[in-house]
Amino acid sequence: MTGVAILTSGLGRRFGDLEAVAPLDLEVRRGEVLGFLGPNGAGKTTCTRMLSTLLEPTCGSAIVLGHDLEAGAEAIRKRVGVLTEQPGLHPRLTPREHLAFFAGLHGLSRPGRRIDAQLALLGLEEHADRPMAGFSKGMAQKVALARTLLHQPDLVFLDEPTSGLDVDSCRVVRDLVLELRRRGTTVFLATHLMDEAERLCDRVAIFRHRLLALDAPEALRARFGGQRVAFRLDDVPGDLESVLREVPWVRDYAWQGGELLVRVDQPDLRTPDLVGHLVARGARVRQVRAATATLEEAVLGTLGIAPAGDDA
Amino acid sequence: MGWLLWREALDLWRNRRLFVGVIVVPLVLAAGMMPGLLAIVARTEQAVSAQVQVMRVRQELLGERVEPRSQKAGRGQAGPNPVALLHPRLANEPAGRQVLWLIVLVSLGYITIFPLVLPLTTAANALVQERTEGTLEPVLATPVATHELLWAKVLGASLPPVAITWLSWCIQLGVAAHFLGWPAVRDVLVTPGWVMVVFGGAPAASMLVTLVLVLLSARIPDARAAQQWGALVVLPAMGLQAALLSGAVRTDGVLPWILLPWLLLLWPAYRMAVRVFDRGAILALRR
Repeated sequence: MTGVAILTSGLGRRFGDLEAVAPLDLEVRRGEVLGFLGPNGAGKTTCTRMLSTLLEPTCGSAIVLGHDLEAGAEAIRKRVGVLTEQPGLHPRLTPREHLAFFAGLHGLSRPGRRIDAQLALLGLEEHADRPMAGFSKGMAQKVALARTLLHQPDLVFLDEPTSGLDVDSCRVVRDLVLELRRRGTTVFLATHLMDEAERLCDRVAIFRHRLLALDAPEALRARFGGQRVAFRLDDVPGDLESVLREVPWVRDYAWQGGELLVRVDQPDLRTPDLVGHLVARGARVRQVRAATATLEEAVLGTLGIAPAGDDA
Repeated sequence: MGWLLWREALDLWRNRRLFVGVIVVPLVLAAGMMPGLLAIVARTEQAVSAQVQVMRVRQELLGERVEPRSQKAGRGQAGPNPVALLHPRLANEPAGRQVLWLIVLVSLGYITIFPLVLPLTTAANALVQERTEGTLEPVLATPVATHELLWAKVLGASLPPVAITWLSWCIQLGVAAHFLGWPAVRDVLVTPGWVMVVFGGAPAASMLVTLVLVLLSARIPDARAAQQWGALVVLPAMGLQAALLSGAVRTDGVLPWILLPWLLLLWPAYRMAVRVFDRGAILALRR
């Protein structure tokens, strides 16, 4: 079990008739950053809450950091840090008081130096003794992050950590996640931001009430985004759909940003034939390039959602 | 637990609206209302006594037959003496002192309402508002035990009203002793019944109201609505207070028995609150 941070077996949660999380089998390795990707309302927060012992599952079981989710809940809570969706700060407390309060709840003795280090790490020294009532969302999120990492957890749950933040605050959060990865801390990152997942995560789970896919971002791109060829055409045949349908190895096509994206089997072999076919049907081909699917396209493809800008 | 109570205290101290409503206003009422009324009535009583003396002198010197207005007004109006209803020992007190006693007893009756009313505000703030503002979730993610958290919430919400009740009680006893003399005050007010009401009943009532708010917070997502529903729940107890003030219930002997059901309700209310406050369930509640 040493290499596994989280292992779930049929873990699920229902709210009345609604199945927020279908029985889930998931393995998160120690030291990895796992992106938990899905649209809003997909059950990511419910899943995060179950794994961090904040919500009882209605079925299944899980082992978190070697402890059973139910029997070892207190032991789990000592070793995990949870950044909740809302920062959850007490507005009348200062960041220093807030951190001292949480250090006390975690049973840290003489936490002064550690609090100072966290405040410095997130650039909060200047605001450390001001009540948090007037803090911006970015500042509040930094304090919440400091609180999450204060007791140096082995596993960190981050629920939408950059949601609603400005560019600078996003960068701070992302740098921190990379620093955690460097230190070997396991990070469970629930997000709906593909770019964030692609940049930060070793593996990505695509989730909408159930686990739809789990792999490295590049593998997901290749598997679900498909292999495509992008054309810039001057003259487009009027019956483009029937023209492309004549070719048996063309799987589908879409217009995106003025380009015709054609998904084909074995693009390295088929591209010259496809160019010849289009030209023979009256198209003037100005540019051809191999198109790599983005993680967003892979995720949307997995979720069965057409990407924005698709004209087909 | 200490850290949780520290945060509750700090929040009460810095939340101006809460501090004024729960600490300042009750203390001003306790320290201002009764002493003010007693001072006015005592001065009136002195003036009436002086008027009676003047009339007696004039009667002797001039042979006039004049009665003070207050005696004229009281003539022929027989009815139950409200002060004697509140405490039988007071039936033998002079009329002027009986008025002072009435003020003292009514004011003390008001103070006993504090542990019923003030926790509605503190508990709504500590429980419902915290859950709706998302500040509870990070606390639940720490190793603190559910019963510790619940106790901290219950004590944090119920101790300030209890402290205010006790402080107000002491202030009013002092003021009453100033106007009526300590031996009389001791005989009438420092009785087992009153001591039990103030030092046993107030904490019990305050904690019970807080636990009721815990139970209500499971269903009510808004702090103000929780306060209003909580006020409905404490209405029967307010009725008891009204009965005490009107003399329908005597303060000696009977009172401890009236408190018994309150004390007996505490344990089941606590058990139910523990279930509602359970970590695995509380975040699943409607916001």
